[in-house]
Amino acid sequence: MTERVSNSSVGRARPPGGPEFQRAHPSTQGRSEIGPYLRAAFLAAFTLPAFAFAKPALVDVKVFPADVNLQTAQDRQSLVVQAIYDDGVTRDVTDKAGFTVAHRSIAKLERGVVVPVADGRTELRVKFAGKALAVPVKVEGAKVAEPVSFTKDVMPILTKAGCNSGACHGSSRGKDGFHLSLFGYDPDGDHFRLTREVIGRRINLTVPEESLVLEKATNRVPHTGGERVKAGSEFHRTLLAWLKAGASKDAAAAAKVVRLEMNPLQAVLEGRGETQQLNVRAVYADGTDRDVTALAAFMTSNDAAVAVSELGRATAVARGEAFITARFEGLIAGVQVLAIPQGLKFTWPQVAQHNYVDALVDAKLRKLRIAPAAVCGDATFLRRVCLDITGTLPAPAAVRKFLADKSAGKRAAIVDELLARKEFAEVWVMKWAELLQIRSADQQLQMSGKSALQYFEWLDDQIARNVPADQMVRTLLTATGPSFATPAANFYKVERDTLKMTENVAQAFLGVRLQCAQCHNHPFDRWTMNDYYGFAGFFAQVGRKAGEDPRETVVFNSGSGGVKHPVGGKDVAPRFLGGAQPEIAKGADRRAVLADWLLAPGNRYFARNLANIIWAQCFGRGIVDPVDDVRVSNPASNPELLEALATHLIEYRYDFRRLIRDICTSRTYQASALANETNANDERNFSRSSVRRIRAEVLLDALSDITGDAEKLRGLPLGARAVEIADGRTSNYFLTTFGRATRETPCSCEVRMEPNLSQALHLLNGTAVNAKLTNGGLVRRLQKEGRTRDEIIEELYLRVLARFPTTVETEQLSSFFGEGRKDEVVLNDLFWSLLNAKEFVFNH
Amino acid sequence: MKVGTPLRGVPSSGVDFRAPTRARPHTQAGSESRPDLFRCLRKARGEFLGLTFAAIALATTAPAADSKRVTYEDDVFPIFRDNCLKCHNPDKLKGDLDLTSFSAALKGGGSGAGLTPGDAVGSQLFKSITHADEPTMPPNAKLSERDVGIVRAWIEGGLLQGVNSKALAAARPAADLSLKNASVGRPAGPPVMPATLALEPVVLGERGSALSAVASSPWAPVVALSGTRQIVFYRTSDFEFAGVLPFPEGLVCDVKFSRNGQLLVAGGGRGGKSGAAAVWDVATGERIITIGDQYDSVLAADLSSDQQWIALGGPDKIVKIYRTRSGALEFRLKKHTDWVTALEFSPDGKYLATADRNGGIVVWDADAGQEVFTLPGHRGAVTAISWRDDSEMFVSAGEDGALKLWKAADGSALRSVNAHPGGALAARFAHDGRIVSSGRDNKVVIWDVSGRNLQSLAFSGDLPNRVTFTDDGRLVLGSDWQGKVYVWETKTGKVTGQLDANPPSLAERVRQGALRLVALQQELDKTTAALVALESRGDAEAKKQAEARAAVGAAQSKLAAAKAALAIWTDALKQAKNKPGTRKVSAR
Repeated sequence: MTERVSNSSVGRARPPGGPEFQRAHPSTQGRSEIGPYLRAAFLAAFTLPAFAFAKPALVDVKVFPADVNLQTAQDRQSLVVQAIYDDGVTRDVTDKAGFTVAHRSIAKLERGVVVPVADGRTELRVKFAGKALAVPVKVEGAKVAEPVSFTKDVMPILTKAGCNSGACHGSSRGKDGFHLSLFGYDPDGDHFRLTREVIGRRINLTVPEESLVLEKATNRVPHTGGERVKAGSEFHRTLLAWLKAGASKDAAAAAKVVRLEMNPLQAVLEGRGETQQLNVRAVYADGTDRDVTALAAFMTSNDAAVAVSELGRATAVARGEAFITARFEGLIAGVQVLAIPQGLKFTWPQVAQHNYVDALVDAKLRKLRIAPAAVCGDATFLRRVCLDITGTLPAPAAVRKFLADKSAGKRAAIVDELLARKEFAEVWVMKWAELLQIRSADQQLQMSGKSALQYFEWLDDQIARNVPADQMVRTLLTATGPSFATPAANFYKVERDTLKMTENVAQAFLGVRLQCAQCHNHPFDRWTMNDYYGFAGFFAQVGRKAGEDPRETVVFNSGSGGVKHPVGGKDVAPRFLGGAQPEIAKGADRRAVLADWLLAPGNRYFARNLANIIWAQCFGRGIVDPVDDVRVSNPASNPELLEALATHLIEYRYDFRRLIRDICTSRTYQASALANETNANDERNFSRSSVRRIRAEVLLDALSDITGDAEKLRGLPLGARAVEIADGRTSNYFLTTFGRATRETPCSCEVRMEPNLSQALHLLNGTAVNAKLTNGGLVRRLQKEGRTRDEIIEELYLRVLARFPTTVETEQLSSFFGEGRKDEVVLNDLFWSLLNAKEFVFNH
Repeated sequence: MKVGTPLRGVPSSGVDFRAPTRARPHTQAGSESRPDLFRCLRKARGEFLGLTFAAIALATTAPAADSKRVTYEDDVFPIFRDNCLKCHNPDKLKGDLDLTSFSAALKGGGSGAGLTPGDAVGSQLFKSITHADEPTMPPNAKLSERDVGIVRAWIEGGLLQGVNSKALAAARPAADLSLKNASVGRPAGPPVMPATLALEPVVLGERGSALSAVASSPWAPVVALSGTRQIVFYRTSDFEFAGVLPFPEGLVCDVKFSRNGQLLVAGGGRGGKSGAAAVWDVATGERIITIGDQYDSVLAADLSSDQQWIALGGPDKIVKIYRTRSGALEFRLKKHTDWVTALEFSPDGKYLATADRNGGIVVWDADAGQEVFTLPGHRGAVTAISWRDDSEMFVSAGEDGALKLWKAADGSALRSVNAHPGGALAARFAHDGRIVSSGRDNKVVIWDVSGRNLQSLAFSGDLPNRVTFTDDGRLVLGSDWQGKVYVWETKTGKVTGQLDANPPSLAERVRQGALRLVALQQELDKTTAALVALESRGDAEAKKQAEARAAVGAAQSKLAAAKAALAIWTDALKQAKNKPGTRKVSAR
């Protein structure tokens, strides 16, 4: 902390003079400029702990974009300057920085925007608080006046103004008789509809100003969508210029945007109202780029924390974090913006860091000024780790032993012990069975119960033998042969539709929901229809034929066939999702090519997805959440952590036991569920343990174990556990009520974890608790064994809650006994009450 | 309507609180006349001036409730028309609310009366337009403060309908155009040609735009081309410009000559906002009837051959039939499920065939307004309807690419031809029963009624969307997406001329005329010199001399015609200069 004081005595350099700096930045208004300096000096003199008042020191200044390329006479580039301070706070200092162009004969500045003058190279010099930066400027085609392009100029306006959104003309049937492709996935079709569908209505080239499209957009004639474009605005001028030039389509196919750059990648805004201008640049396939900040459509994931304006200015609203996305021509990019209260007194507590997990979680928490919860007690830890790793409650003896153990490494030791149990494998067989949708179909020929069982047994064997996940997925993807002999071939039997197959693979193995892109470019993600159909191409040549047994399917590579793109109706060549288009010999098995790409060590999608699923199993929430909804607009709450986990998983050769060990031995995993002052509102950063309901199968098994009343499940022997159910169709009232996955889709949402009223009522009044309790006869059995009343109470607490009763509880309980009531009755009532306690139903 | 609603409190100072009591007799009188519903102005120019005056009056009148009484007709209706009537009209009736007439506005909508006299803040309509309460209106927009002020003053002033004189004024008869009999066949007398039409275009555009309609007089060598705020005439005898008719209501969407060729009917308007149809005398250019106050462009309009009825169709899906004599709306035919895109009365006046964007065609009894047949068949928007002269059948063109022939007697489908894959955009009968059509396959074709392709016309332009035969069936006129207008000779299938649908200014025309005069003079000099040379060689070259004499004669007559035309234009230009400001010249 003393370092900070010394830093603060240097302080932030005073803003330099000059005309650029005369206007105070809004964010600094209302902020005392002198106070902190005096306070810092004052405090330094008295050597008080000054961390709360220290003036943060400037660490770095960044300019975005890092280079300026101007390719036509109309090309412009806006700039953003961000200052980064040692307390992690960032500030938009664009208005305070000094800009100069080295050669004004090449480029000049107009209101902070770089404008071309003549071809050549120069540099833009940016100065702020004594730091100087140079941005290379390249001007080509300064004299090339480019006509208004339909795809490059007009289409983005239709998106930005909201014309082609799903609620308006982008809806599948259009609006009020006029249809546009959703978010502009079909520029040719949109051009036709604007100009030629209803000839003589939508545009008027003789008097372009009177074109209906303009009159409607500016609301000069009644428009259900209101005013989308201001008369006289830049957008209005562009649309008019396009009409004046004849409303033509682009002469040559315009270069497509291949990448969207959005900067700065992160901002930490201190205090309500603090802002950060964002900068968006599109990079085209021909190598040109373009400032599209004004054309991109901005969205915030959390407007309660950070709002964003139409022109891309993020504003802190309240403590929290948001992901701001920009959409342009079907592509999407995003940045993280944190908002923290101004002048917050925050001390980072001295906490232990067990491994990389803690280091990365803490790094994020420090930025957010959140202190992690204290480490939970031994009993809580034991119950939690048993539930998460093995899906069972610890037996009373195990609880006693663990609590009595005084060794320092006992928590790590129990993790190792649990990972070696067969129940651990069963939990993961169940989870994989959900991803692979192991389920018999209504029609036996489609997927018989026999097939489902074979498939499940194959999976069970793979996990039990600890076959690395990548090998297992390769076996599945490339599965060929009769499904009875090669149960992995059931992967292609469960789903026969090529497009659904594509979606399932993307969702289960990449965590990506591609569904939207089947009909239009994904509105909140980078996926276009081209990506979708390119990916589908890998499954276009999967052949299926009936085996000898009608329930059997033979899967083979048919070597021919394709998937047609709905726009244009041509076969699409297979292309990796977000990747290249591979060379595949005619007739070669495309699935093998896909598996090579998917499981290549350099492809982190798969490892990240698996690491995230594992993390979610331990925390009840993914780093990307839901785990199968990885999207630009739903980013990881802690990307560095997710990357580190993925890296380790690859390093461990997809042995996820080792990754779970890392996670469960971390301090983060062992945090208490009790909130402190700073983390009460944190739901995403793992600063405390989340209290989550125990999932259906585990809860039913726990009830059976505790009461000693075995469950009979369809197709399984008496006493088999619900976790072991092979067929997704097998269920009972209890499991359905508590949200067991039907495995009809690979979606993580199949497992419903929300507590609800019917669950509570079922535990209170249904057969689950009362009948099991009666059938099991545990209390009577214990009494017969000659246990005392107190011993039985203790046994019940240990069985149900995995802890000893507290002194207060014991005292209060004693008042229920006696007065003519039989012990057995009271004890059974206690047993019933414990099973209905929230502490039992939830993992905490 | 709540006539007896007590006033809630006395309005603030400066307003005569007895005003509502005085207003009541108007409302009780039950005057249902819609302001401006039907307007008959004898002179188009007069109307133009009237509009300008009204605009100036509106622009300069502040919403001062105390200086001037705010009334529905004068002040509030224009606000409703610009902002509300697209949905709150008797056809759409959004929220069961109709604001197009005073009485309907007072009746209120589905949630009851929206207006409480004297209490603006308590009136639901006012809450909606000030966004003080749901539903906020207009959706996604807000009225200007000035407009809100006017509505407030109107409510607080006691919801006046209009000034007395105007409120009770009855609708005057429009024009008695009715003929004793339907006009069938060539009328007696000389062909009706435009004679005294304006020569200065209303709009000078920089480039052409796709024409929504082209029409040929059935009995005279003259054609009419639709445009923005104007209709342009050309003679087909010499392809010479014959004048313009102004249509200040907006873009012209449909143009048709009456069956006897004396009148012209046109519909159009400002898309999404207002529409009108009008009838002119072709010879004089006099506007005889205006049917205004539609809430979107009129996409199709026709005059029955007995000239008793005007039928309109447009985006509101309703076919409306007005009586020309009274201007009254006689029939509102609700049957179409999408925009009404085409309609035409049968030449004998018995039927009206109407068609929509959903492929539906309905045949109505023209006099009774009753549905006769519904003709399903087209699988795309119907783009054109044209009757054969004998009223036995009509042809329809559709975006499904088909031309379909329908029999009037029983509504049967006689024939269907996949004429223009991608979409048929136009079809028109000639007097002799041939059909000309065009479509998205970029072809213009003449057919017989058996569906035989008689002739494909040479076309290399961009998307021919409208075609028609000229009066004698010798020529075909067609327009394309670029706004170019072609004239073909049906015998050869070759283009013989092009018309400019976007004609230059009179001054430019005079300038070009003068240049042409010079060229023609040179031609005459050249031919004369040749003749002189031949004559000097004596009689030996008699045959050649005769040819040369004919050439001189031709050059002389050309020159004379050009001189005469130039004289007319120069004269018109002079007149226009002497009366500055009577007509707008530029596009905006």
